[in-house]
Amino acid sequence: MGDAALTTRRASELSRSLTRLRSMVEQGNIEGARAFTRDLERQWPEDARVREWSRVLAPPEAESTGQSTGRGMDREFGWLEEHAHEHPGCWLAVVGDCLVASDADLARVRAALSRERIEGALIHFQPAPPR
Amino acid sequence: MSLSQSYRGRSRYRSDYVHGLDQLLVAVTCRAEGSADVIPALLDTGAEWCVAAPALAAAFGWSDGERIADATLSTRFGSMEGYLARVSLLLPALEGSDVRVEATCFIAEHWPGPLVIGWKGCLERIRFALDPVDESFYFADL
Repeated sequence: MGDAALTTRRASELSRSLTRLRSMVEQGNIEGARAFTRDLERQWPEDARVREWSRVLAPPEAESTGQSTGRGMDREFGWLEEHAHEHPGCWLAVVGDCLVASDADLARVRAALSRERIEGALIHFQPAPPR
Repeated sequence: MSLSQSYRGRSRYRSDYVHGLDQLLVAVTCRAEGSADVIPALLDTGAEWCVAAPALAAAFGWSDGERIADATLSTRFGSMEGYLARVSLLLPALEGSDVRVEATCFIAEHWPGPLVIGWKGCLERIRFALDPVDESFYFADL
């Protein structure tokens, strides 16, 4: 078998394997997919698609940061309970009991927060009611 | 046998947080790594994956636009197309220590719901507990 034919066959084999991997994920066989990904990594260690699947299927990693950065959000949630429905289809940024930004585009809300140097806002999306 | 467990951090959860027509039974707060903005999320041990809307993923840098790990997954809103992405989430603590999680999230194209913190790729490697007495959410890395 020539080099070109071998390359084509390998590419076809990889494509089939990735389709099988995706199917395992879609059927909820995550542990099977994780094991299969390890096989794929051994066979195609340089392939970007295999590396990405391996990355996203890897078990999560958690670590304590040693810092405590949380704060109470009672006022923000209280504001949302009373007023969020007044802003259908919008992303809302709330600090304390004040709405500090709202827009249908979250990027615009975040830009406004950055412009005003507001940190720690509670971000909430208020879906529009079904028609 | 000891029935005591230790945790690194404590925050509060909200019960019955309303998101449009949905009511989130247990909502916790989290942040995207590198952002001070706080995002409410449904804590759902019955959800296979974390789930996020594309707008949230784009705003918090969870997606670089590449969709390599494409998938069509079953959700409570039906079958949805999207892709799996690795995201860095922070559980901020009111007491003790924050916990950072390198998690996997399904970015669903037409997701109408809130951010969901699900089992695979996230909760499966966090020790956590809920105390309804004061709505405390305890968590720790393993």
